[in-house]
Amino acid sequence: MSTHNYYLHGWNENDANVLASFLYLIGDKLPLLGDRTLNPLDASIWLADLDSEEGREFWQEALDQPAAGRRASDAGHFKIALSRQPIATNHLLIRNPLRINGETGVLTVLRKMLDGIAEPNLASAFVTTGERRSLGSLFMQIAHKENVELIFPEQVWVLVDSKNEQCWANRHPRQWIRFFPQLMAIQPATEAVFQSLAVSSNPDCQAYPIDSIKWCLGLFLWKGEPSPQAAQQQTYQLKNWPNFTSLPHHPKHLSLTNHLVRHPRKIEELMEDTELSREFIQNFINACMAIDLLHATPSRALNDKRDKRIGYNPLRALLSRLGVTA
Amino acid sequence: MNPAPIKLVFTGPVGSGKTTALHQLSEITPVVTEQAMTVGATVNKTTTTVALDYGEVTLENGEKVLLFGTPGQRYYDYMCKIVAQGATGIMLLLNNDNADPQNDLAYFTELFADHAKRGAMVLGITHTEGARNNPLQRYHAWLSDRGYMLPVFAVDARNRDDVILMVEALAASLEY
Repeated sequence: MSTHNYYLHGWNENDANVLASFLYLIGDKLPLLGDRTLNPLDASIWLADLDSEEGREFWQEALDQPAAGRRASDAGHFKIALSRQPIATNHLLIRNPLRINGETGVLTVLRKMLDGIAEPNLASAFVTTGERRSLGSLFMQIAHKENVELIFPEQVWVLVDSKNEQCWANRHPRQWIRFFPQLMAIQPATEAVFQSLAVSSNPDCQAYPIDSIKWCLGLFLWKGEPSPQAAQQQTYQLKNWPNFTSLPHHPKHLSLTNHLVRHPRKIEELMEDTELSREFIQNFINACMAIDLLHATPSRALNDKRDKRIGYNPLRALLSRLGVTA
Repeated sequence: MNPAPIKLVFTGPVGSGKTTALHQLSEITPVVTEQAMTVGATVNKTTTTVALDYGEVTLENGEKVLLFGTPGQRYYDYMCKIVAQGATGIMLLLNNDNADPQNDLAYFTELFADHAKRGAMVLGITHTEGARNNPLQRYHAWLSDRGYMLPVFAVDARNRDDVILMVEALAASLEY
């Protein structure tokens, strides 16, 4: 697949970073490059943010041009509009709006265009973004080896030491599953921040693998939708068991793991096997994908000697006795 | 007829944390057979199990879960095999700091091959603190090459949550 260039009309830097981070994650499956120094005429894809003046002007101008009278320079450019506002706000600007939630939707539209499925010109994609921007940009910051601090209520914090591929926190990752939905801020972490929190000598502070934070992002960022990477596959299979001692998890994640390490599975099959919701399973798949635990091309069913099902599992009764409820 | 007892066996080489892990689960004061080490004592380990450790948990229906800890020395193999007969699961603890933990893994998966093949085994790797570059990868690779997909976790045998996680994984593995 050849590489395409895109140009962002009216996008702020944060959103641009989110898009770039997603494109980075899916790598060669959607080869797109964005370059701020690029001449717009050299880009084959234009993405307009209707929430900005610049984006609205661009889009209005594009729509106002009758097809026959379009500038020669428009020919061959794919155009996509996105906005965080309700559709009604921008209905005059978007013809036949196609509403898509989340950045994943932008990528889906782009993918269809590159595959020649969608209308090549003036395609209208209405894309909502917003609350997930900061978490999305965190992926990019980690990939770029930038250190950041995540701040949660109750004076809980996580310092991501991307350079050394670890993170420091004053709570065990087991507890992050409770705090993560309440994330208050993400900010750059300078050397002074590390020193002020005295990470290496603070008895309340422990180091954990950077996979702990990537796993959390996978678990929470896409809210039941497939992540850009996960959207590329229909069937999933785990390479091995996740190291759950340093990953925030739900007891049901262990059941899902048990299915996915032994057989390639579709989401629907997992729903039937485990009686868990699609959203719960998808979040788990996204988390596994975030730490590179899934086979790119699942194929092998494990030839083991397990019974298909057991009825009474005495270990469940033991776990209940130990205070663990599935 | 009384139903077969529910047995969990904690096994692994000397110094891997078997006795400590068993203590995390047992609701009785475990019966231990620790004796001063005559060879190989360190600052952190001066005793070793010479027979069997024993602990138990009583379930709400009155059934007892029997917890056995095996000695780590290989000349007690025969004892390990007897204890493992009819065991619900094997909790294999390996010390990542040992000279050749992969050799330990090979030895114990062979010793308890029946359980490993049925997925009734979970691995807890101790002493991984400070290890870089995913210390569990070599264990996963060894197991995968031989067709095993067993749960492998980096654990601290002193941490009850880590030991419970091993039981949770074992429970999940035994269900389809």
